[in-house]
Amino acid sequence: MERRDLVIAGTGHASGGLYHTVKLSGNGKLYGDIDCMEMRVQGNATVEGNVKANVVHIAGKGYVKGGVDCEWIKVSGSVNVEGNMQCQEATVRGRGTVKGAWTAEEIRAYGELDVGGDCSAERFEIDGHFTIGGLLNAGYVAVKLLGPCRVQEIGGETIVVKKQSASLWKKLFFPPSLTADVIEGDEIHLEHTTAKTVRGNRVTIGPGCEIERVEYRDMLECDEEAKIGTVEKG
Amino acid sequence: MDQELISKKELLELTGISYGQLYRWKRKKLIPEDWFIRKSTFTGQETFFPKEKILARIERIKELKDERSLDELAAMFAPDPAAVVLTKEEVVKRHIVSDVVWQWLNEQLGDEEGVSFTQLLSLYIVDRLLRSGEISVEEGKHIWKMFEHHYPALQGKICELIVLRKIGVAVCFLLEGTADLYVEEGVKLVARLHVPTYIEELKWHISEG
Repeated sequence: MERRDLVIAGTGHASGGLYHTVKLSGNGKLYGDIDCMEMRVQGNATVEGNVKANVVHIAGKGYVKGGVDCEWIKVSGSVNVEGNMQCQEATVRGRGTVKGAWTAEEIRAYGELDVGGDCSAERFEIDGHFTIGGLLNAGYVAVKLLGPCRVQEIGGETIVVKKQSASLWKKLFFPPSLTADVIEGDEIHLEHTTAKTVRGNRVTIGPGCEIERVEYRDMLECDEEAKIGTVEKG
Repeated sequence: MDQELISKKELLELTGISYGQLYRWKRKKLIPEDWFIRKSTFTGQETFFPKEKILARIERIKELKDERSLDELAAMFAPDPAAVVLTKEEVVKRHIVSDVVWQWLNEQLGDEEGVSFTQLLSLYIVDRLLRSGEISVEEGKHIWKMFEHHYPALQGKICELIVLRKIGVAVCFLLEGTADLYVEEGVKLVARLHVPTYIEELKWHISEG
């Protein structure tokens, strides 16, 4: 079937289907599943269905009732996905919300991420704050804390959590910190983290940490300001 | 179903792999999600695995990971088989199923040359059942028809094939997921097959042949 372009400028709505380029400028609403090569949103877009695309570019606000399956997604502004998100590369500047699970090769975010289920990626990098309801499973996790973060579990090869200097106002009302149940990895570096259990080969516990139980194999380094319960060398 | 469990820590000590590797394999779907069993212990939440299955799987991965990429391995272990299509010649050449069973499919296929994975899988499972001597050829044919008809709906999911018999009449069905089964007295549970196991076996047959 031939793929044609869909353009909405101003306010309008259209049905889902097979398209080449979907371009929404202004206020657009799409009913049904979208399968396209490229989707570009400038303004406000709502999709009452699933999105399948090579490239998704959102400048403004995007809402997807179903899931998103794409190669590449770039968001400046906010995106809200009710279902699961699957992509190769994701860049979010602003806010990204995925109610289901998020699977990607690379996730890079500046701002806020909110994932309801599990989140897995080869690289997960964020400057800001995030909430993940399930497991964050990534080869490389780099977090620059700029606000309160919460995740049930983190597992991966290298996990680095550092605090970035924030403004006084932010420090007072949104203290940068990470709360997790379990953190497991080969190489772990934590700052300002509260966790029940941390397990790893080489573990560094930095300032502001409160860890109930640390298990390590090769190396453990602790900051003087860190509070640690029991330590076990396995 | 009671099975021996192993904790994550013991597993890592026993196999010599690291946390990173374990998570990487999980991410690449080399280790199925439902093998991660969460239980609370005195040290908080712990993850356990079915011991036999996970040890066998990790051995396999360690053996093969230098020769094949993780993606290739994932395709091999995945319950959702890749779009494998074999030609008739290949199937015969690799001795995947016995001749009797092969005849059925041959009749059904007619002039078509390609055999899909699903077709082959249903045949393979019935063939295994026949070889075990648990069912008759006539029953095998019924199971085969049922499986071919219903399996596509369950593709990619974990399911079991159940065969029951009462006073010489056999009944078969597919069960999504794994569940406990309680049957009336006088009914014989002829066979209960975990389909993903057979998918894996069949894949090895195909890839090795």
